[in-house]
Amino acid sequence: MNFPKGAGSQFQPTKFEERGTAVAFTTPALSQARVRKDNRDQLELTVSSFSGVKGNYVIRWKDVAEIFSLTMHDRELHELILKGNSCLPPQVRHSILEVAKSGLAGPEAQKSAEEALAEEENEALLTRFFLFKGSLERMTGGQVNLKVSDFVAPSGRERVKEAMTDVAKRMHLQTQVLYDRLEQWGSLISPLGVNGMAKECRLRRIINQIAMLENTMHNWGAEDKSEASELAVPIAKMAGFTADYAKEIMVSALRPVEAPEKVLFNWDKASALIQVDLERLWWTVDGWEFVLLLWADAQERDRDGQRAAVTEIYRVLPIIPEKEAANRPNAKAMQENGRLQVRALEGWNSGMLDIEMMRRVETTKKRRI
Amino acid sequence: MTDLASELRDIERKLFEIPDEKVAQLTMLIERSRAVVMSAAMANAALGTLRPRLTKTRPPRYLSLQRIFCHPFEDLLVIADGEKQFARIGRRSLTPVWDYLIARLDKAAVKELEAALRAAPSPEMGLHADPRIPRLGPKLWEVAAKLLRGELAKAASDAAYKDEMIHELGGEAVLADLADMVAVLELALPLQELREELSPKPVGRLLEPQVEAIKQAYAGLLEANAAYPGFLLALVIARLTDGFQALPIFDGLGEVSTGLEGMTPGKFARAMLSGDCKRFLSNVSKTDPEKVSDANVADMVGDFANLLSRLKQDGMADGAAKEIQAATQQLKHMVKSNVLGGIDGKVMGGVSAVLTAAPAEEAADPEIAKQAVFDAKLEAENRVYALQRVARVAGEIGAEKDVAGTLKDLTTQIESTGATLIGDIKSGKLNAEGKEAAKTKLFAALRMLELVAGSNAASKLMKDGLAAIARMPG
Repeated sequence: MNFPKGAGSQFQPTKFEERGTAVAFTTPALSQARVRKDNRDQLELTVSSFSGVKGNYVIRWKDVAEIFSLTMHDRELHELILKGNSCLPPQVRHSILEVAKSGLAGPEAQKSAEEALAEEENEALLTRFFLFKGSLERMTGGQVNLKVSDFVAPSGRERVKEAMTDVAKRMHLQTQVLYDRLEQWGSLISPLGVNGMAKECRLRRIINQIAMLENTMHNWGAEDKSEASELAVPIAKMAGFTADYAKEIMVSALRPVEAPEKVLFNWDKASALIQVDLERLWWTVDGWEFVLLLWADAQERDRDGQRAAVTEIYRVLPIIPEKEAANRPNAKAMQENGRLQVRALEGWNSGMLDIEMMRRVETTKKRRI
Repeated sequence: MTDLASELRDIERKLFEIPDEKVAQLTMLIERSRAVVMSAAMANAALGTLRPRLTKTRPPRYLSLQRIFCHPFEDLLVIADGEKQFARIGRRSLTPVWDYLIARLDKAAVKELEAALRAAPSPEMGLHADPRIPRLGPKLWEVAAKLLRGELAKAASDAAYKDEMIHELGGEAVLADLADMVAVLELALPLQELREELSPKPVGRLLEPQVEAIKQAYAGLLEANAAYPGFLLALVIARLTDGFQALPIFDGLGEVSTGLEGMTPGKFARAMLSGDCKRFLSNVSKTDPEKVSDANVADMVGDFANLLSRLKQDGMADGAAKEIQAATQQLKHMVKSNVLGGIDGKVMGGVSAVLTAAPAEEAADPEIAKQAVFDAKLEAENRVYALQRVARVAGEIGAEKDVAGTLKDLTTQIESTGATLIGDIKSGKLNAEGKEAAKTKLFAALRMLELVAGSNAASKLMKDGLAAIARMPG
């Protein structure tokens, strides 16, 4: 969340944890509001540009349902996040998908969430296979060459087991320990997959699409003749900056795959480092999925629809906090975007939800990256 | 024809799976075929199918001399079926006017232009404008304008010549369209500059530099003594999402000439907007309810309400009273038949599809059963959404009582279904299915109630339902 320079800038978040995680609420006023923890480890919600004023409102999480007229979907999501008491992006995402799966955001969002969860399972399975295969090949000097069938057929499984026993013996580990570590490692990096996999896993897809958004937004801004074109420039810059930053972390998180023996031998230390990279990556791309989906939807709309989408994207643009990217060139410039938009989200005199606006927000839940 | 129709349907289905390059090839093929073998109607049908993808991909289009000729006035083209519309050009006039022109143009000059067109390389995919048009167009526009202006002058002074011309063109409306084409062709170059300023189309809210560009362009035309500068106003209106926003700008130009007698820029703009509105209203009146979906009807009602409000604001509603009345009647009829008609069954069907769904393991084909529930829910939600959009402006078509009554009935029915469900949960009827199944059923009713009656009405059902589920065993 970025405050313009001057009054209030001392409240600008300096770390991801302070920025919080974007929550896919369907209540228009709360769309992409962020959940974070206060200094007493209690969840709180930050809402940007609320009522069209600059800056953020911070509300105790447990009070959100009292203050806002929430959709049924959001009541359930609010409750689930409260129960989970976590503001980490993977956990929040899991809650978001679980609630979407309940059908409270409509059948298309339900279907999309079911597919997303199934796809993640497949990606985890594939990643584990490629990690097993690559690691065993490397650790046996290429003597073991595994195929998918080896994990299914009893004879193949025997071969895997033999190879793992040999490697484990050499590393002075029990075979089961080696196996467990490979399993955990695979699960850890499954949102990224490993290099060489034919299928791109979710975080990698998002990073690549953020990189593409830089060009798309740049071109769109160059040809558009409205105020929105001015917003496309910082969006493009931030997309490029974020994609580069995320790619660096991704490289760092996957580098250990090249030296599996070291990782598996020093598992506690090595896995902690991988975990840190993955967490930073989750935080870095957090909020971008909504941006990408909003833009994908807008591309099928007319010019005015695209302009509205660009304005909305600018409002919720996930900006990398100062301390996270402190050593990167241009970090300061990236963080100096001021935002001010006025939106009509609720009937001004009734406070009732605008069903059309709600439907528009729900649209992004129908799609997946 | 049947084969073509089925192929078109197939293309439509696969449209967004085809790679960009294939779309480009296909477009080029269809457009060339139109010129050579295929009938124009067949080619248009094929292009109509491709249009959503063309907007996204923007492949280079097949460029003919006729397309270059039409470029200056293409913003003004409309599908007209009867009388000539002020400052608009009917698509039906394109071919007769082009044939009329080509029969009188110097054959050698035409061949030279065609050779230059063939030699010019096709533009890259994704470009908004074809760079070959500004390169080859000016010469053709100048020659065509001069020749056709001469023809119009002869027709003005010789009634027999005019009759011959009308006969050759195929009607008086085509002749009137030809006159407008000439007026725009004479402004082709200055309009080209303004078109770039007002790109890409459609232009939303006009920005200050764009307003300034319009004023300067108009002043430039007046200074150059252009015959019909008013057509610049037509181009501006045609490129805007909301043409009404241009009225204060054109009114601000005062009493200067538009080239048409008694027409100030403000009057010119009003005449054009009035024609556009009447065309829209007439299209609404002629809409066949059987061919439009509930969502289309909701769109039409929304557009109608917006238009009506603008017409009233600008004091133009009285001039279109007859058309407004006819459109109102038709919209009311369509709302009754397409939105309110059968809505109970559709909405309650969406809820009961979930409430009565057998557990996946009991279904003969779980995938088919799941898809059926999905379809029923989606249809129900889409219908409610259409109803809510109509409800916002139902007063404009006199349907507010019907719509409010329907919303009230639906609310009562869903609340009653919800109450029965909670009763079943409390009495243990759903114990065998478990808490998760009970929650799924509750949420189906809840979601529909929220869409129909709002979150406040749904929250009570949610509270009571979740409390009942919490007391279920297990």
